[in-house]
Amino acid sequence: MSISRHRTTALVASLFAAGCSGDDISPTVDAAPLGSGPGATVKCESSGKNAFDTYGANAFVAVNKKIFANVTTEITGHSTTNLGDSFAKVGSGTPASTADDAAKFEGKLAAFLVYAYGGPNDITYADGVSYHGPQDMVAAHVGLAITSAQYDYFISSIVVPALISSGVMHGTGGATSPDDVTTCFAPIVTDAAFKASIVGK
Amino acid sequence: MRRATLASGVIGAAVAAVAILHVPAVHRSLAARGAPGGAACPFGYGAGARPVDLEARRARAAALRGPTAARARPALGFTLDATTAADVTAWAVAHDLRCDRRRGGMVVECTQVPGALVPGAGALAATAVWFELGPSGRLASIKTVRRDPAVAAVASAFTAAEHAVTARAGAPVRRDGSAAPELLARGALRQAMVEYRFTDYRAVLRATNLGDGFVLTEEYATLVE
Repeated sequence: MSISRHRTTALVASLFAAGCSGDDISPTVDAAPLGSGPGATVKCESSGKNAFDTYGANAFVAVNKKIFANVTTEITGHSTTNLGDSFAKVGSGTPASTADDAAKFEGKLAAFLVYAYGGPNDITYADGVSYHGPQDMVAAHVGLAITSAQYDYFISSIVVPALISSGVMHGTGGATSPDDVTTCFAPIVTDAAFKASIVGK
Repeated sequence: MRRATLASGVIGAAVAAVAILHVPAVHRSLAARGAPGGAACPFGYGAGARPVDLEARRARAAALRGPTAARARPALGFTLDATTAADVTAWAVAHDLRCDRRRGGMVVECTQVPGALVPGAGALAATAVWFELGPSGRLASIKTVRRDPAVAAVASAFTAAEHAVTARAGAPVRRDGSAAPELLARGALRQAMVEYRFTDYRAVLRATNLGDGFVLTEEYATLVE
């Protein structure tokens, strides 16, 4: 791992910690793409850089937190059937993909998102533990029996609102009104094989 | 494959975030803050309404209320705060629909429902319809997912639903994005949203480009305590 990558790892860790405490810190972005994840070469319309280099770790923290907030709203509304009953299995270890505790889940989530969108492969998270970004996420869905409708609802009602409300640009497209949701975030989560790897497992 | 694995990870991670809520320590924290489910699944599966659930529902409803009452509360032909599980079951049997009761009977999930049976969004059929019952056992909300490969079908369904709710309930309080087919079709995750808030009713409509097709999601909910 390069010195630059170590530096960014520390930066990401501190930013996630800051994000959790509500502080506002502007991340420093390296000039060249750092990561090796699939999103590393997917360019945002607003910047010509990948999502991590465009928005920085703070934005990823914000999106993550917003997803939590949206889901919590669903939970409080007692109206989460649309997300399926797979969540009830988490923490039980049955299926095996549900065995991680809360801290580990959160750290792995952070690491994966950073990696997936062009950040470093490894981060040290706010809990002081190092997490590896590249993960076998397909295995994480085996046994959860997520339906196509649940998946569609989750993307349209949880993920997209989280991106938009966290400040990811979603204009009409073009230089004067860039649409980064479509250009650099969507390609990662809307791949046809992606859905097939999750639904019905 | 690599992209697929990555995408799986992103959604998986998001799903995992939700899953964290089921970890005992997190769950206890949520329960202490008034989230439903108590010591069981925070989503309420298998659990009836508890005092803490009712408080949480009231707090959520208060946060979502608009300033005036809706002129009417359209809900795809059903009646909020009146329709019962038995009514839904009878409807499903009459139309030979496949429905299952979930979450201890508090939710009825019906799949592949013809558009004519859930009017409001034109003829677009519903992939899934979720009927949620409130503590009284009467209809608290309906959510739908309608999918079509053609942008025009979903865009027109969104517009039809928007016009129907506006005409019957009143004007929306928030809208974002455009359901114009040429804009919705420009790329994945482009979305049009409209939200209605009244003292007694909330509705949210979303048309979303999911890359492999277009989806209309609807939510119609009571805010009456």
